[in-house]
Amino acid sequence: MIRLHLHGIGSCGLGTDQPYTDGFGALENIPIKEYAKANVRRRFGRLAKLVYIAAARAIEDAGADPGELAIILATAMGETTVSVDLLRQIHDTKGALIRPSLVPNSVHNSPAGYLGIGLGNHQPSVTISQGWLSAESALVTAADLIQTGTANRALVIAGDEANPSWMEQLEEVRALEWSAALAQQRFQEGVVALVVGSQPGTRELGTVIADTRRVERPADGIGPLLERNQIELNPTTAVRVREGAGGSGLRSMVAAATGLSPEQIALDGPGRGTAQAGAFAVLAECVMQNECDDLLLVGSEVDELALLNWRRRENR
Amino acid sequence: MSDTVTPSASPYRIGITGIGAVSAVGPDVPAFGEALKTPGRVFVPNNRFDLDFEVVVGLARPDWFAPSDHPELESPTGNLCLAAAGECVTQARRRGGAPPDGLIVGTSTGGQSCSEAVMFSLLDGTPPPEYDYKAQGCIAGPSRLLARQLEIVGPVHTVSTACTSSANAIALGAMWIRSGRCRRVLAGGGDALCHTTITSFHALELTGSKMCTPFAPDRPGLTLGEGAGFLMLERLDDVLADGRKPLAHFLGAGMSSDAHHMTAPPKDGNGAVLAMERALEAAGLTTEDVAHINAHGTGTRLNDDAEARAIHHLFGDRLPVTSCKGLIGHTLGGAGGLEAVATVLSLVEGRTFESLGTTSIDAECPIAVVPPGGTTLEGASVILSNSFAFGGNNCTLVFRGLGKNR
Repeated sequence: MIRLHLHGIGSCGLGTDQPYTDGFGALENIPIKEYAKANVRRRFGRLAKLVYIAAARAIEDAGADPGELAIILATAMGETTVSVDLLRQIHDTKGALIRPSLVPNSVHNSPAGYLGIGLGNHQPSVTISQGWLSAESALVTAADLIQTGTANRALVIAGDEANPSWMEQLEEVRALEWSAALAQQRFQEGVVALVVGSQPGTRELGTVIADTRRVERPADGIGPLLERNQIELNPTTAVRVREGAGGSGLRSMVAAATGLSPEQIALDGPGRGTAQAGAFAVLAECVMQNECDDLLLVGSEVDELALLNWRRRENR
Repeated sequence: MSDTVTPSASPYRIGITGIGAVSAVGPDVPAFGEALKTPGRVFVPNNRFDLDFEVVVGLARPDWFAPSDHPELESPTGNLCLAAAGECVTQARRRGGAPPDGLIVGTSTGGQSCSEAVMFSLLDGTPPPEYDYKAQGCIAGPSRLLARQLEIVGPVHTVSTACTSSANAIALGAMWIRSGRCRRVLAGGGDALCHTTITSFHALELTGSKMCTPFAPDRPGLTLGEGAGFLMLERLDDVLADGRKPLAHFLGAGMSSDAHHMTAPPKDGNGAVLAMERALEAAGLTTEDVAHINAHGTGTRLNDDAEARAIHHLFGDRLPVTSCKGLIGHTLGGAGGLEAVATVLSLVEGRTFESLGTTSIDAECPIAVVPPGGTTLEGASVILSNSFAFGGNNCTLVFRGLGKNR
C-alpha cells in the first residue's frame, strides 16, 4: 500500500463551473465543445461530458501524456439520464422499440470508454462503484495498479451527474419523496479528476492515500484504519467527515478515535460530500485554495469506512 | 510447455483455494463441471420477462438464487452472486482455509432488476415495491449483501466494466494480495438477467430466437444467460505453510483498452492482443507456455472474428480454443468469473471442454476450436481466459495447474 504523488487536478461541476446550491444542483451549461471535437463527443451521455472535461483539465494541469495513464472511474450511478430514458422506452414498448444508441451509454463504464477512445488510450481501464465511497475505492485501485507495476500513472476520476429534468420526471410520476430527498441531500452534480503516480511529477501537489474497509462496528474501525495507513494527526491536520457519507454520527466516532473534540472536526461543507465527487471535491478545495496542508477525510456508508489523507509536504 | 516456468517465477504467487458457480446449467460447481463434460443445450424461450419479442435465454431456476438473512440488501443479482460466493467460501473453508479478508464483486447491472420494478410501477401509477436504492438498486448492492451475509471484514469493492466486470474483479483481487492489502480475497461476480439487458442486446440485433454458435460460420449472434462465478484467491505461501494444496495457481492478468469504438472491437483485435501480451508478461510467460484458451467467444460476428485474429496473431492455430457461451450463454458481468471457474476445472480435470454449438469453424476465425469430447491437458498446463466488453475494455487472466510441482 503506497502513498501516491498528486500531479494534477481537474474538475467540472458545481463548485467549479457554477456555485454550489442549497438544494438539488445541476449544471446549466456543460462546456464540452471546448474540450472535445464534434465527432468525439457526438454520442456522449451527460456524465461522459463531465468526465471528459474534468479529465482534460487534470491532464493539462499535470502536463501528462494522456496515452500513458490508466483510467479509473468512480461513479455510483453511471449515466442515470440514459438509464431512465431506457427504462421508460422498455416500459412503453415492452422492449420492442428502444433506441439502440442508448445501449452503449447505459453500461456503467461508458464514460471511461468514451474517454479512452477520445484520448487514444490503450491502458487498463476500471470503473469502480461503491456507492458514496466510490472515489476513495477508486484511489485504492489506482494505488494497487501502480504498486504492482500494472500502470505507471493513473487518471482517477470520480463523480455523478444530476440532470435538471429529474425533478420534473419524479414529480410527473408522483415520486415526491424522492425529489424531496434529492433536494434535502443537497445532491450536487460534479466530477473531479486526479492524475497520480508513484514518483513526484513535474507538477507536485503533495501525496495522497486512501483506504476502505467493511468493519463490524464503524466506531471500532477508525483507529485501526488510521494505524494501518500510518496516519498520525498533527496540529495542522484538518480533520473532516463526509456530510453525505456518515455525517454528524460519524463525526463523534472520529472524535472518539482521534482524541479530538467533535467541534474540531468539520463536516465537508454544503453539497460537496453529497455528490459522488465528494471526497475528491474536498481534496481539490484543500489543494487549490490552500485551505490546509494536511487533510484527513473520513466517510462511512452501510458498514463500510473510507479514509483519504493528503499531505502537501512529506518533510515531517 | 516449458519446464523452466514455475509459479514462483510469477510475481503474484497466488493460489486458488475455492470456486463457486451458478448458471443455467445448475446451482453449483459439481453441476457446472458435469455440464462442461457432457454438455447439452439448456436455453429456453424467455418466460420470465414480459417482452414484445421472442428470445432464447439461459435462466437459473428460482431456487438457485440463494436467500440471505438480509432481505433489505437483496436483489436478483445479489442473490445469484451469493449462491456462488457462498459455495466458494464453503469449499475454501472445508479445505482448511480462513475466511476471506477482502471481497471484490464484478457486475454490470447490480440491482437494476429492483430499479426496473420500481420504475415500471411508478410509470403504471401503482404503488412501487419497498425499495432502498442505495442498498438494493445500485451497482454496489450485491457486494454489500455478500459482505454482510458472509461476514467479510476488509475492503469491499464493486467493479462495473460491463462484460469484463468479474474478470477485472479477479485481476484486481489478485493485486490486493500482491500489494499486501489482503491475504485471502473472494473475487468474481455475476449478473441476473433483467429487462434492460435483454432488450438492449435485442435492440443491437445481437440476440434473438436462435442459439449461439461461437466461431461457427453463419452464427446468429449471442445467447444471453445469467449466472455468477467466484474464486478464492490466497497468498500461496500461506496455503503451502498450512500444508494445504491449492486447486490451481493464478499467475497474472492483463488489462487493456481498445480506444476504438464503444461496442465493436477493432478488426485485428489489437486490444485483445495487448491484454493477452500483458497477461503473459505479468505471469512471466511466453506464448510457448500456453496450452489452451478459454475465449470470450460470444458468438457475434465482430467479436469472434476479432478475438480469433488476436489469438492467431499470438499463437497461430496450434491451441485448442473453447467458449463456454454455447453452454451457459453470455452471462455478462458474470462471464469472466464463470469462465475462470471453468478454467480451474479444466486444470483440475486435466482436459479441455468442448465449445458447445460449434460444429464447424468460420474461415474468418483462423483458430482451432476444441472438438466434441474435449482434449487432454497436462496437469501443469497454462490456460488463458479472455473477457472483452463494451467500452473496448479487455481483460485476460492466466491460470496454471498444479502438475508435479506444487
